[in-house]
Amino acid sequence: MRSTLTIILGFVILIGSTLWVADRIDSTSGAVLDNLNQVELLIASDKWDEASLKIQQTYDHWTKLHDWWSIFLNHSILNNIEISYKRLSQYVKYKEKSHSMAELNTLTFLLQEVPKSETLKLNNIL
Amino acid sequence: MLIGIVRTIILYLIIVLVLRVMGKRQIGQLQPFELVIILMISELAVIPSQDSGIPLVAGLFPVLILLLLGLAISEIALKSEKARGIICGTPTILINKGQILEAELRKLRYNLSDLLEQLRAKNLPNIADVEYAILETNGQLSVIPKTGKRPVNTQDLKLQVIAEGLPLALIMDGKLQQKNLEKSGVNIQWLNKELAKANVPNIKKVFFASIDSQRKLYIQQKADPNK
Repeated sequence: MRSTLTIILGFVILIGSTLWVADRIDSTSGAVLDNLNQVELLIASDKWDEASLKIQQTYDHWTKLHDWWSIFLNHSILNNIEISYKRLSQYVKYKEKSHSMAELNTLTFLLQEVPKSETLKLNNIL
Repeated sequence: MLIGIVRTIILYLIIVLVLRVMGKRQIGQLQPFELVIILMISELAVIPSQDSGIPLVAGLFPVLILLLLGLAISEIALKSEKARGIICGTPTILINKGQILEAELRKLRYNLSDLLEQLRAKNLPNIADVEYAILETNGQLSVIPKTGKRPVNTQDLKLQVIAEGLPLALIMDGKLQQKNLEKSGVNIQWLNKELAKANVPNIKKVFFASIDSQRKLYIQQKADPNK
């Protein structure tokens, strides 16, 4: 009986922790995405300095997340996000509107994909 | 490179721990579900140790899930006979009362050469000497020889033999095994006296000493390093 309970407890802990990690990734990426939406509005209205500052704030937030996410997620996904951030900040710095918008879109897509890849869906399983 | 070394060490230690928890069976005695788990664990352990882009935790989670699955299946097989039959399969008789069961051999795709090889390995080169041969669920062949061909035992000879208890190691590489000393029912004074009788100055000079149920002491001294 004791060993059965241990096995069940083990499964509950492992499955519970993976669900918790997926939920945390979803909520934390949501916060970053909200900031990026604000960056998009700032770029659209040519507020470059404010956009640059917002990107820096978002990036600082992201670096904190990066350390935590790297424990559970494939490092190549995180590297792609990192590269996209660097490109975006340079485009904004030199006020390249079309490039900034394109890179922002890429970054948003990459960030949206992270929680999506962790959800329990048939296409992810197969 | 250094990361790879650290990761490999961590993975190795965890896999050893996982296999220790899995049980003490040898590879040749594994049930099919256990073999699958071992194969999968070995593959899963290699991936994060080779690719530093994959988090160690991501590699360890499936290993832990496999460990739990293995334990769960063993538990189910232990408690339910029906489940045991499905999970582990059932033993199959290949030779029944000296007759090879052709249909069973075909069903199991077990050829005559395999059967003869296994019989030879069991010290029965002549198939005519075999009464029963049973293919166990772990793939091993159990052989029961015909009555006239089995080894003679003390009961056959009507001999009175004293039951032998388990010998206990009292000294290993100069170190006294306290637990075994207590189990054996002798004390340190007795042991020292016996060592003195055998011209051994102290415990540290003993490489191995054991005691049997008749309180007979076996002593082997350490080799002289100067020789």
